[in-house]
Amino acid sequence: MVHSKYVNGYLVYYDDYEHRWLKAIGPAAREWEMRYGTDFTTAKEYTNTQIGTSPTTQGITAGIRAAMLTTTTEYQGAQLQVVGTPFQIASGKPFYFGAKVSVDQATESDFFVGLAELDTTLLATSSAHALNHTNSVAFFKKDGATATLAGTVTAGATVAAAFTTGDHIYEIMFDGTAMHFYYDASLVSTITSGWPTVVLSPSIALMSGTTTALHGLVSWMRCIQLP
Amino acid sequence: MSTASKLVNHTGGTSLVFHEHGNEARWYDAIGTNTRKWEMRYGSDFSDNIEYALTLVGTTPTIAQGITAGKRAAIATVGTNAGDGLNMQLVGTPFILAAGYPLYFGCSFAPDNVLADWLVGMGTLDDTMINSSHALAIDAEFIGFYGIGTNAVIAYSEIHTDTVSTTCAGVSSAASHIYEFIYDGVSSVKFYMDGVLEATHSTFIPIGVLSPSFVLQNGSAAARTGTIDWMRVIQLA
Repeated sequence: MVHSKYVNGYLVYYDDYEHRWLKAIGPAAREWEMRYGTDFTTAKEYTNTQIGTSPTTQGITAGIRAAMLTTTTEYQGAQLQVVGTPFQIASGKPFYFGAKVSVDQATESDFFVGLAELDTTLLATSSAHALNHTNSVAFFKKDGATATLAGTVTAGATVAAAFTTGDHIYEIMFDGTAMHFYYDASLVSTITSGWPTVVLSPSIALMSGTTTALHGLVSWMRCIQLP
Repeated sequence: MSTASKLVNHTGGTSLVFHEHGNEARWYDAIGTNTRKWEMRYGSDFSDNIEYALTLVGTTPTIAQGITAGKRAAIATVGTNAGDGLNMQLVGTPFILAAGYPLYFGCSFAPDNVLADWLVGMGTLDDTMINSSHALAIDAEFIGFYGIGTNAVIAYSEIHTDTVSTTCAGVSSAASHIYEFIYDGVSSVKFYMDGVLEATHSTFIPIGVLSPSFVLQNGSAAARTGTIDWMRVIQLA
């Protein structure tokens, strides 16, 4: 059920969960949503970085906005970042980030989704599976494991539920003071400091952990911030 | 004319649908976690295979952003052979008519002359939905409206040559007309032209994945133009 409320004088529509923002209406609401019919040509709407031949295309399966595909080589994959860095975490400016994504390999995969600084290698491309940037708030899963971390680059809380191949919803809600991380609508972590203060872009990355090609399907992904 | 809203139940929950006041069949927007929305946008990139897959027949037909205020796309068939024109489909096939997922399709389209072949609706990927002999030539599945060289408008649904067609009481002209259909999420599709219910089909409704689709071709040996005021699909999921 869709509900609405006022936050900072803006009309915010949300789903059954108050943290799941769908739309905000106001003179300076900052909204971004991955759209059907997106142009994934690099530097148009997204910086589309392919490590190896790892294309992202419009969805063929109904309901899918983006289909990401990796090569069959470990450390190769697809990464998208919205061109520009339209968001910045700041005290008193609530924001919401949410994405519904499925990955077809639970263990042998690197996966990242959230807000990050611009970096064409958010994930390490050799030597060891790890984050390879400094500033983000996100969910991250490392190859060889099914544990998902939620938080910043330097401080991630482990999500209790193991990463699986089905659709999962990853959400971050900053209420202007504290930042809450939700996995499939369940609160998994809250932090009150340590988030980056640099400008950030909605980001998603998927990388093969073995010799199997991976598919990542994005059902939806959106970010809303109130001034 | 003003805007009203209602809550609509569907498999994924309940979504807020904005519609024309007094016309619940004309959806403007919907808000829901997983709402599937597509709308031809101002500033579209009409380069082939970026936002749309284009099939061009004859001497370089064109589609461009509208120059006239309010127009999202301006199409010119350019060539003067019968059948010259343009077949356009959104890249990807992001929609499917599945139980529990109500869907709205709408398009306001104006040809410059009724002697045009045209089609608006949703189809499986198909680069020749109308052939050069002025005949509908759907490869697999389509649902929507078409006209072939006259002012007659046909509401149509097809699955692999099994078809249902209804000749609308409304007729096309060299002016904007609104073509809409609503899938109820159960078993039937209602077709509206200019807000008037023209047909209800409950058989041979497409079951495959579909893309918003548009065709404009010459219906005679003369070049034609057309404009799209707006075109959108909203599905509750």
